[in-house]
Amino acid sequence: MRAPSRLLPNPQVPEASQTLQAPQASKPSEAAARAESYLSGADLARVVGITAAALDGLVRVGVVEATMPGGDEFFAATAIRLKRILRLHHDLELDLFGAAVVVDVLERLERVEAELIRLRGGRETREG
Amino acid sequence: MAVKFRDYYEVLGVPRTATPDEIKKAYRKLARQQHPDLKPAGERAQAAERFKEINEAYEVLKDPEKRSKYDALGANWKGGMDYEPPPGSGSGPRWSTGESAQWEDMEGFSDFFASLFGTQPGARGSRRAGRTSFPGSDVEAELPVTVEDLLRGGRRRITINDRSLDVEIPLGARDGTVLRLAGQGGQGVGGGPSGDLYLRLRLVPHPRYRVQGDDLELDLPLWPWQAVLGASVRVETPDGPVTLKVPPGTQSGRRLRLRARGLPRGREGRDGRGDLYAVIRIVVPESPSADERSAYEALQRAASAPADRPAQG
Repeated sequence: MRAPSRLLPNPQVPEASQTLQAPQASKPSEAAARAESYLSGADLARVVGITAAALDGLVRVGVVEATMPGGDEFFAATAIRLKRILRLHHDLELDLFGAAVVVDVLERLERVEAELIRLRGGRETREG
Repeated sequence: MAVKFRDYYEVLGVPRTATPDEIKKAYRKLARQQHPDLKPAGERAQAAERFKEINEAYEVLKDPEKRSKYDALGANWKGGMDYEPPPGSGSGPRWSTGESAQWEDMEGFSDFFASLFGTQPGARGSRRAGRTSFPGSDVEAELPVTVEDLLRGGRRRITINDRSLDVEIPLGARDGTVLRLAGQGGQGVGGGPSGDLYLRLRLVPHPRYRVQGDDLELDLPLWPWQAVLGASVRVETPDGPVTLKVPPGTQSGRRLRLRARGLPRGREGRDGRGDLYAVIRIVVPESPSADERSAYEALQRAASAPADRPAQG
């Protein structure tokens, strides 16, 4: 089954990943920024800039998955993943399913590299 | 106001006589090499800059109308030359230097492009003509967290883009969990909304606890006689000390479970908690006392060793 094609306006390229400085004790008086680790389907569609119907299509063909099959709850990480899939789809003219496979492989590679760096005591960085 | 001329043919590495197919092929090759999403995190910012140029060049050269307008400038231009757009050129918004600089820093095309084709383009013409505001870029960052953070959640202060921000770590979070902070990414341009901040939690190794899914593991050292005869030992858990009954004949590596003393499960921790496992490690006294030594010697004489191991050392 082929994923739907050509869905979206060009999603932005995120800024380079960075590691935040060590946190400090917070003042209890300050309001915390709202941090979401889950998104509804409607929010996810809005965040990545596609229609709810397009998101349904992507879920149906398995490009993205809800936290539970048939559910309407997604991990916030899915937003990053889906934006990346859509950028690759758009910029490299990849089929959406192909772009999802590329992102799967990239994520696996990144996990392996992070593990390698951890095992080597943080001395190694990946060459481009 | 002069803008810098961009040599789109040079960017794509094709001659001015290149056919549409050659242009497409060159773009695809460069996109594969330079696409920021294919690069390691540390190289993405640089790749994004390069990719913007490639994208802009392709946007112009793949479109016969834009290409002929660009070609009409003549072949004597070189990238980086000051180009003075003729008065009245372009139909879209004009950009002050400051705004253009911000725009450049985000995701868009150059002001050279804007001076030629008017409207701010957005990649592949995806933006509506005449749109004058643009959303800020998303920012991705890692946030180191401890096992205690995962156990109890809580508020953490971070500093990003010179701003201080308190972040609530939800119960049920894990290594790799992503938190989205709406509107805390890059600032929008021209009144456009800010981008979002995505924080990926990175678990810092704990000196005592290892995380295995929802469960925690700790090493429980036992003396040989405790393992053979059984013992009651005090174990520090995240919820305070408990006394754990070690059954007689406990082998090294055996995992003793302390139910529901692991990590909170599910959204906001509403699915209970994982378990805590004490992993038995039998340790021997390296410098036994005289009494211990004679006790071991007595044991050696009395023990009937299994057939698959040598009776004498």
